Amino acid sequence: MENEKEAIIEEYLRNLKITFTTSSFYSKDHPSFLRSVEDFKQKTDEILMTMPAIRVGVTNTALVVDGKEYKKKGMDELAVLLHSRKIKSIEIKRGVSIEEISSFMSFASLRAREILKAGGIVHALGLAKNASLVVEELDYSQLLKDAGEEVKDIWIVLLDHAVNAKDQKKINDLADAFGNVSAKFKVADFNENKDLWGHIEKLMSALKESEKERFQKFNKDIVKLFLREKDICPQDSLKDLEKFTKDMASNELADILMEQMVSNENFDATSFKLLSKFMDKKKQEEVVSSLVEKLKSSDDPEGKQKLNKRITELFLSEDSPISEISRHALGSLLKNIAFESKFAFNRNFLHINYRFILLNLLVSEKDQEMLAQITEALYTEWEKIAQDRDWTYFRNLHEVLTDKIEHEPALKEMFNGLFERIFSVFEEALMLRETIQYQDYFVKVIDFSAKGLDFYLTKIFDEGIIEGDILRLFLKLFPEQTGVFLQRIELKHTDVEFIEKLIAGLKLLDFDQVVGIFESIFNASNEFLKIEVLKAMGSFSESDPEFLFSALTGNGSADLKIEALLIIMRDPELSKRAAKLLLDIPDFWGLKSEKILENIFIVRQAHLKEAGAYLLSLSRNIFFWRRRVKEAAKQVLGEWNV
Amino acid sequence: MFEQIESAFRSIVSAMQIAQLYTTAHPRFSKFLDKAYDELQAILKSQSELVFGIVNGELAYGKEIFFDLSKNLSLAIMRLQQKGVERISFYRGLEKKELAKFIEYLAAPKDEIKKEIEEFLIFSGVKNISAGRIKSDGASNKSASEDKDSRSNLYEASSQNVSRTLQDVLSDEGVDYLNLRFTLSTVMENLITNFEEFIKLTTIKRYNLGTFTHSLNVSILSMFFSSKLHFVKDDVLEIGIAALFHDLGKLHISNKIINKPGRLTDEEFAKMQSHTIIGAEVLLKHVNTLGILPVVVSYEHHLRFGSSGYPKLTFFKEPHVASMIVAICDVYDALYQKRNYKNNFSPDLIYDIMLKEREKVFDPKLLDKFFSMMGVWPVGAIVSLSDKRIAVVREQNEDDIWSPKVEVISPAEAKEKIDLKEKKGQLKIEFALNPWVEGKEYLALI
Ligand SMILES: [Fe+2]
Ligand SMILES: [Fe+2]
Repeated sequence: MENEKEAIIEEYLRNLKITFTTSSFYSKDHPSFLRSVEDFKQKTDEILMTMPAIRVGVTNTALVVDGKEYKKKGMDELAVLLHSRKIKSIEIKRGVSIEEISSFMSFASLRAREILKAGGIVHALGLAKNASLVVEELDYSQLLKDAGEEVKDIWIVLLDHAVNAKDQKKINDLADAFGNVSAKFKVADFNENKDLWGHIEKLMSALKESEKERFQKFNKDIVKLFLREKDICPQDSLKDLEKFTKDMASNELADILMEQMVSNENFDATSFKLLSKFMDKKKQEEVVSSLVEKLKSSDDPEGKQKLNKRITELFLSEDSPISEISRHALGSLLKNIAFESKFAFNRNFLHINYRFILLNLLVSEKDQEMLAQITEALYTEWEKIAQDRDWTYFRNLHEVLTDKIEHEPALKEMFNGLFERIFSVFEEALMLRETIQYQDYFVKVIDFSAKGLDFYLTKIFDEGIIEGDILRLFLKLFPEQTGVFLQRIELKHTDVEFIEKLIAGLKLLDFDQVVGIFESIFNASNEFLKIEVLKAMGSFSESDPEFLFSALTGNGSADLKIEALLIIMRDPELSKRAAKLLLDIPDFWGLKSEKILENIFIVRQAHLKEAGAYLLSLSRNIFFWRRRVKEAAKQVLGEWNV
Repeated sequence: MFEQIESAFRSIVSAMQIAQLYTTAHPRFSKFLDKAYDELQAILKSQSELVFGIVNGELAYGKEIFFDLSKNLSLAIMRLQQKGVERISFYRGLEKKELAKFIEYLAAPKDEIKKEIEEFLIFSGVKNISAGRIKSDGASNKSASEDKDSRSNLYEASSQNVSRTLQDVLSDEGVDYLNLRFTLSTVMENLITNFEEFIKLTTIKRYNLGTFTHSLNVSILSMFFSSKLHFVKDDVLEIGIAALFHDLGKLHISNKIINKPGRLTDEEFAKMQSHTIIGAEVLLKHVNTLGILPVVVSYEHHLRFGSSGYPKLTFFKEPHVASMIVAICDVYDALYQKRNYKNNFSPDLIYDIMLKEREKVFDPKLLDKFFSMMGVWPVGAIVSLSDKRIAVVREQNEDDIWSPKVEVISPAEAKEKIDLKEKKGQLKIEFALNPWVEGKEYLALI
């Protein structure tokens, strides 16, 4: 009995999955979509005969009904898709209408990014708790923890809710999250979205009295945001900045100054002027003296040195906006710091000098034994060298080693460990998405992987790091492993977003390297991805005609064939062949009318002018049973003015 | 038996050095303490009392004097004497904590424990050790000249230790890092409390201790200079060690070339010039014990400010501050060494020479700082004042390098002390006397 019930539920979930997939391919009023929704409504009605409501829970690996996990193939994929849309559960009750199902399906099957941008499903569809289709979402604060681009939009939407509902807890949480989210904001966002200003003002007044600390921190985050963009910030937005600086304590402002001067390379005279513009003389002096105190008590010589340089540039320049007294106080303080820090015993510098000495020794040394010694010393020092990520150094080292091997091939073996270390740092940095100076150089010279196959597979397939150069390297360093690569793709083929990213990455590589991979993805994917693959292939100047023709004549959708045809049409000879293939179909008895009609549609959409002659001949047909084909052909010719 | 006693004494000394370098809380200390204690216990099984004595800087047991041992441990023995310890008796029943207390006393920086050793042991409840001076007349206060002598001895002993270390490195043997560190930290400790005397030793009283004098002088000067720059103790010591090795490449080459019969080829001359590189490469083998600074300093000490000197760099880098410090001290000492009975390389001439290179060779600000602490006329220089009296320089005025504090030594009647900064416009130094020639007669007076 129990098993029977589970079988029914499983069948129902399978239908849910099918409907969901169909929804993602067709627009809301496409007949296929409508039919699929109707089907699903019927299945729902059937299952709700035995129970008043069905509640489908979602984890990131399975669907859950009545405490039982359903994780067979298909279910698990649906679970992942729903989970990435932040859906915690879906409950469908007796009496659910076809409109409810249809609007849920068409919205929920949008890209996850778009859904989040709209503030989540519940918000966007205005789903009420007492409706017949109820969706429960993951906790909203969970949404803000993501690092994706959409987090900004989510924040805006949630702020809108929170201030309208006067929900103090949510307001607090949003203020806390802003430090994290603000990196995604641009000042332009405030100009474009005038409501946003209103909301932020409400947020601030909600914090100002009762949440002093939060209020200060929020102000700080906003000021930093403005400073970041001071160059492109329009003048009237600057006036807004005053709202924030006005209520800030001078030590808070000094904090920002310190922090920005040390950590933000772009913090310059303009930033400083911007900041000081909104301080009166008294406040300025307070800020400067607070700054002096902070400098005095700092015991980080390197930081001091950096600050010293920045302060000289910013405060002591001719047109410095700060007062004479403040300038004087800072100036004399700096003199001391300057001497102290210039002649401090700086261990970092010591290691840098040491590593340069090793490099210079390597250049001049010819004795093999000595070279081995230097190599050994570099190994010992490597942990520090790797940490510093001095790409010029890595490049120089690589060039020196290569050059030496060129003159003395026997050295290759000795230097292998150094090459391995250089490549290891490079591969690691690449995977961490660090900025790498001379990235192209390293991509070019790396000739073996220090990290190994599994490292790449894990990064690409488990962590989704698929920037162009990573794929390029994979194909370069593991030419024998394309098979494994394709296998892993196949395992992931239902993960639409992953495959999309993968396609985007592959697009940046050379055609010869990727055409095979594209074809494999094409063969393993659904309709939607097939089209994406074709679009990507269209971005290369080269093409694989046989593959394109097989797509054109296969049993894919019209949309897909149009995509294939568009690429084919870049070559006039191939265009002729395509026209013939599509329209020169012997069909005396009209048995293939449907097929020909579809092909005419394709030809028309793609503007395949080479089809003109065939269309003409089709339009002259005298047999009534081929009237539809004749009309269609005529119409296209008419449109083309032929 | 003899060996047993010798070994026990060595262990006590090692424990003392560790305590001095790392404090008694360091795990290495308890290791050495255990060893010394076990060895003493073993000896005290067969005899109820063990007495060491120090006679004229030599270590004695009973009627025997450990000549060999004394040579190796001369610095440690000197320290015992400085601490007023000329005889030590250990008695059967000795406890480990008693031994630890005793060593703690020996290792404590000068002036930290004000009590004499006898008093200290009694107050600390140590019953099974007694120690003190051999002279029983109670005159425990050392005279000034005794103190001066001990510093001369320290310099000589340090120089011996240093030359041994340098020779070890040259002959590719392991370095006794602990001993080296101990030597230099003893020098440094004395430098901080009484640096003028030390500077005097390096600038005037030329001890002719062979090739290694220059290395030791540069090391001492560099430590003095970097402590003036407020570097922490460990960094000062590290720079001292690095400075010691700055010309190792030269020694390495001359060792080989000198032993070679016949004239030097051009190639060998060129090689002499590359002593910076060779030194760095030799020191590369000792990075595990000596650290990386000696490599850096050896390589960079002729690099000059702006890296315009040698070796020529394929990949450019400004010299490290430690290398610039050593470079200044190196040139300063080299110029001073030129002074002999034939040449009068007077201090003001040296100042002029170095100042001429202010921008080209040295970091100008660093050079200014160097002279603000050394003065033009260094401490100990014998000078002729504008009123024709002869004086010796006693102390610098950092803000006026030409006008130090001096003490008149001739005419000898009134040993007047004068701060020349306060007498500006009335009295000044006219020139320095060459201690090899006309200054010689005054040497005994300073
Ligand atoms: Fe040299
Ligand atoms: Fe030298």
